[in-house]
Amino acid sequence: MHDVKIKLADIKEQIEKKVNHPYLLRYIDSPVIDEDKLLLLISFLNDVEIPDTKAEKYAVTAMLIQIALDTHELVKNDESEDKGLKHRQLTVLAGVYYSGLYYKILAAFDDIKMIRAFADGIKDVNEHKISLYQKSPDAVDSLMNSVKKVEASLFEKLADAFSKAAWKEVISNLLFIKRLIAEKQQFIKEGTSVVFEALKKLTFPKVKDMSAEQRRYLILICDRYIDFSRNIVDQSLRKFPLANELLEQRIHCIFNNSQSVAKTFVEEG
Amino acid sequence: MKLKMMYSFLNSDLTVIENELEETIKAESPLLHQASLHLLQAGGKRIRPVFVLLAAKFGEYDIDKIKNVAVSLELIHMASLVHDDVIDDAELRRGQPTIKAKWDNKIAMYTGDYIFARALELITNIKNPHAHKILSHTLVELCIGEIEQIKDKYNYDQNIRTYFRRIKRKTAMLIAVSCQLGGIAANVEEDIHKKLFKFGYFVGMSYQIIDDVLDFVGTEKELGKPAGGDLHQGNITLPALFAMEDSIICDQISRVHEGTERSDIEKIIALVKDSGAIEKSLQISDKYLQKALGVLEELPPSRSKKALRDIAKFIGKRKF
Repeated sequence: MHDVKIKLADIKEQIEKKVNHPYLLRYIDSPVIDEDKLLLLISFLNDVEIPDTKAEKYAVTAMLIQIALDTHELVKNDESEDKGLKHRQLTVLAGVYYSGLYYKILAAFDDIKMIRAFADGIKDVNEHKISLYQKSPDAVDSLMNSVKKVEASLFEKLADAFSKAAWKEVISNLLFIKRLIAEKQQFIKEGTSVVFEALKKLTFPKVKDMSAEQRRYLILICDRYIDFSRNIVDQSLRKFPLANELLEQRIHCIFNNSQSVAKTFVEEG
Repeated sequence: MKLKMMYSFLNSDLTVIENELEETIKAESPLLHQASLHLLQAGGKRIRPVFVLLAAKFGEYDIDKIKNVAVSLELIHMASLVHDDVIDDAELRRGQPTIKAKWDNKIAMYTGDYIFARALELITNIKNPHAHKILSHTLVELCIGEIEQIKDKYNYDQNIRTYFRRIKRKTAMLIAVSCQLGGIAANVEEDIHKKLFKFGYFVGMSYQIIDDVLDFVGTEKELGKPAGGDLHQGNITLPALFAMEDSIICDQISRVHEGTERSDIEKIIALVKDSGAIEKSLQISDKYLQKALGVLEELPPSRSKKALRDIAKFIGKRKF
């Protein structure tokens, strides 16, 4: 576990150095590095027979893309929500800059194959982001598939590049669960969330204000998807036990979090 | 002679490029496809693909290979336009509503990122690692150029060197790389693709300076927007920098801010026009143009050489 922690800290530092553009960071917040995604990447890459330098490079570039996508997600429609014109302008450019860095790093290593794999991932993520944003899925399954692709497509492409189907299942389902938990928490707390809005459109298309029962029903649907994905993760992990205690702890924590959210909701009525 | 006539011998290949552009942006999401198509159908000079094709004529010209570079560079340009319209909060582009205006910022961001990803996917059909090193470096520089432009807005304490560095990144490099990658994709010798880069760079610099001059001398009808827009937005271009050598004009320009009245901008435009700054800027543009033509002379004979020369000269004389 100690080794993984050191590696996690080391790669995080490398990413922080890459995104450290003083002028950008004067106007926009420092990008948030999703440590769960990074841990999953490191754990996966540990299991692939490639040199450490290559593994680090893939972890850094995948996270740079994730940061680029997350940064562009911060661009809002409503001007008044913004922290000013310059903030919005530099948020757009920061995302472009970070994705440019991913290309530059991989190009420096002549890694054309991975440039393509990640580009394919970025394409998929944006296809599904737009579908989610437009609430266009015509069935709950396709909505949930879009949520999963938004969260995991990038990492799935990496797993595909090494033909690691079992890892792909674990990564995509874990990231999916994590996103659903976050959406559920937001829905319980604020009464709305992107995924629950789309879910409402599919489940209660004519209802303007949902009753408590209807809200509970949507949460039930969400819980079923969480449970289903959790089973997939459990089954996959039985096939290949993790040689990584930190990831195991994190997975348990995510699973427990899912339960505690449901419990909170029941307690709060 | 019209620009398109100068490379009419490329017409069938440009149709291939146009079809490929349309094919590449076909997305599963109908809205994403519609938004990308909206941008594509708004047109554009397709000057980057033209440079790619013409440069490739110096080597083993295979349209099936070259088209990957030509389409990819046009898509990169298109993606940057979509993002720029969010940056500038622009409502119109080429007379059409921008993606952010027709839909919203979110859709524009997703569309821009999607088109960028498609461009990268396509360029990976070129297996020469050097091509990717060049392009990726250029893309990062391009972005740094845009960041610098925002940093330098309403900064009147800048010099001509800052301006040249900015337009190099903002415009010249992508044209230079269009020429160079066209050559690389056609397997030309290193000496040739380096010269193609230089040619594109000089043409790009000349092009941008003319663009900046036109912003002062063009009419609203020609420009599709009021003259002096750069100055109003705080972009200090070459004519403004030359005009600022006069302390009175310098004082006037230094007072420009986001809220400056249109009538005050018009007064400054008149001062800049009278200062000789336009003529001086055009001289610099012409110097770059002559450099471009000089480099072109060093390249081996080719049918595209004449077209490149004509395009360069056209750029030097263009009115809008």
